[in-house]
Amino acid sequence: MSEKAGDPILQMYIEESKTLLEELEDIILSSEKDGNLKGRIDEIFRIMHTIKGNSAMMKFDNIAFVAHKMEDMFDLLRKNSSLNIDFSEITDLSLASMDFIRGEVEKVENGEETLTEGRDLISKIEELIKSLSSRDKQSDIKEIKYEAVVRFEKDCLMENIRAFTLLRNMEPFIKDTEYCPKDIAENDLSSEEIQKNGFKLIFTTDKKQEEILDIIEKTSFIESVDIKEYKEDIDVKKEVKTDKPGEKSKPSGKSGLNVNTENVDKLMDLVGELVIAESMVTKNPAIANIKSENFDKSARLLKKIINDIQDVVMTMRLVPISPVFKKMNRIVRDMSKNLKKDAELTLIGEDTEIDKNLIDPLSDALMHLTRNSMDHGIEENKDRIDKGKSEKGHLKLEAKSEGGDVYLVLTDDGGGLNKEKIYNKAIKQGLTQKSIDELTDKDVYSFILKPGFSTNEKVTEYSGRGVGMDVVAKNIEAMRGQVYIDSKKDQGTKITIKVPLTLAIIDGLLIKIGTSVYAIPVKSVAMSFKPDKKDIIRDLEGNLMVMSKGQCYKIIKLYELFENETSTVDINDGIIIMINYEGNKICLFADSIIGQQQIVMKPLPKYFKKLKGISGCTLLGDGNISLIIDAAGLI
Amino acid sequence: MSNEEMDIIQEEDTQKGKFLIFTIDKEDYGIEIKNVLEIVGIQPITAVPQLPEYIKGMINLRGKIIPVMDVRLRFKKKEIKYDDRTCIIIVQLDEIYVGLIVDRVSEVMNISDDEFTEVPEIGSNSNNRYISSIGNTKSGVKIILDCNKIISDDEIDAISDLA
Repeated sequence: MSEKAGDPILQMYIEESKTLLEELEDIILSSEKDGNLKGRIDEIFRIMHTIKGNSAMMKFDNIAFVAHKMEDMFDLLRKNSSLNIDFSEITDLSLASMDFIRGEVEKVENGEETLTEGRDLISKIEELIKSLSSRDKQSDIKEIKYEAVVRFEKDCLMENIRAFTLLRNMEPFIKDTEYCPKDIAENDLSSEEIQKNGFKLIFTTDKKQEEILDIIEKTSFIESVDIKEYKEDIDVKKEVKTDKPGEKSKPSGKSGLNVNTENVDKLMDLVGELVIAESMVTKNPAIANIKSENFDKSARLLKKIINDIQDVVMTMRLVPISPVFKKMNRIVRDMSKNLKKDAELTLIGEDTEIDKNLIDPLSDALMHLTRNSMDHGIEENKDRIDKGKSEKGHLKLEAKSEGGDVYLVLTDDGGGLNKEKIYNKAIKQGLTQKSIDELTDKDVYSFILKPGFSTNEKVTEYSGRGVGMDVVAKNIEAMRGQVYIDSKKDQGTKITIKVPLTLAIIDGLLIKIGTSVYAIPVKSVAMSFKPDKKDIIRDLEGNLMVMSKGQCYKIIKLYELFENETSTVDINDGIIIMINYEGNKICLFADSIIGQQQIVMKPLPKYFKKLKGISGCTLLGDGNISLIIDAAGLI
Repeated sequence: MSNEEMDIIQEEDTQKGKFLIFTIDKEDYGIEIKNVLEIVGIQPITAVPQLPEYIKGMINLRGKIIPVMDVRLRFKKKEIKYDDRTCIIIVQLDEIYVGLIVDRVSEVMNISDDEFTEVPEIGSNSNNRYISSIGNTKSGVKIILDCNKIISDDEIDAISDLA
């Protein structure tokens, strides 16, 4: 089995299938939103076709079969583009088939052999195809929009009245009628226009062209009838035909290559070694005395190339969060259908890049939170109206990176958390002894992050089993992240996840304290300055403060906090760096600033767990380790 | 049984009864070889604040950041200057990697079961709590240490709880 999973062709199949399924889900969901599934049938058909082909080649017959049936269905839709069908059924079934295929592909990936046949699904698809094609048979009477120009015999006079009679005759058989000139009934002069240009009609009918022709010709004095299908529809058809199935539409933007994450990790470590090896060679005492311009030049070139490699490797691990976000779209859609709650999800900051390793745990956490919001947060349509809110619930998922962290914020405009209910439960569970007045809202809300806590009385398909928020909190903490909850009754809930960008590259300001080098994320730095003696204030407890632009700020002596030995202890000898976190500012005192440089955030070894004021560490170009100062932790 | 499983069992067999012997002060100590990942010479150590004295900081081992502990200080012995005999033994316990700084590493030794003697009870709070057994070999007494106990640290836990 391990041999199977390692098979590069299989690997490719799995990756490609996953990408295709993601693309498909995206298409289906977005077309459902804007109600234009019709226009995208070809894309869906192409994807199903590719999946079918690939799966058949890999001999996953069950997947191929389902894909084949879906292809059949979309083929049918494609050929009858004018068919008027309820697409929600098709959307549901497409999503179900997609889930089935995804499940099977995952099984293949995990090396599981048990491949289900998905009979239920196939029979459902077959049923739908049957009902569609029966509609197709009746499609002889399907509605077509026509455009007709009727000319009357010369000298028949009163063309406008003739045209009016014609309309009367046709009325029982046609609908959505438009005609030109419009004022035939009121304006006798319109007859002149009819004489000149003919009487133009645009209408929709379920009759065949010949039948319509017969009806028109029954009216007296008709000289000629020019009838054809209305142009707009014809255009659509043409467009449809140029898009051949099986032909891959070119992916927009950059082309991708799937690389094993393990290899990227290895490469990363190797580049780290390379950097050290480089400095070992160029700073080797044995060559210290060589004064060769040529050698220096080559050494510089080597260093430059190594730096470039390092940069490239670093960015390789970062991926946009958008696939995770798109999953949420699906959850909101499914749940809003099943729970009969109208809801809409807005995504912001999908391009935010996070470390590949964070994708899966974050996705699980967000999935859970989204479900919670849909299940417990957003109220029933009726209740929402009673509360004077819009019938449709709104969820917002936002990603942004700030400082060395990524923030994911899920907001809903639902019922909010019930402080009393949570508090009573917390008391029952023995989580607190304090009275409710002693606890702030945030204290109370944080109880729901404790194990075994669930206030929902009934267990639903989606949530309410009591294992949940605590697992989310634990997983986020394992990533050295945090969860914050904020809520207002009847206004909604806001859950913020903050995770450090473990391996993300950030701009760091390198500072020196004694012999140690520390880095501060540039984003947290407000400014740095050499203070005037007169601006330094000492309070009664001996704490130092500094006046800057009329404001007073606390000074933290980093050499004291980090227990470094340094000769720079006088404020006037060193430098002050003002850092900023969510509007709060504090000043740090260091020996000197070395410079600004891109650094790779690495987590501290697990052994250390949490350290105050330090969010991680980074490797410097010379192979030394530098600790990264956590602005949020110091303020 | 698959080949892979056989390999693992064989590997465990070949590692059984083998100990890495190192010296601190005048004593010889041993740790089970299965915990040892590699041995490197002394490296530049980055100090990390807010940690017990015996945690010297961390080293960059080919891009991997590994915390290092001075075993001398862990055993509350006097600190000495590191020299070219000083070694860092990188041990791995589950997910945790730690470098142990020792005066010098001497050899890998087989100690058979009948060479072990019981550890006398002296109370759990002394340094002796790190000892798992004592090997009485031809080349002298080797104190076999329990890696887990050296590394697992109430003090570190206490510190991170405060943070």
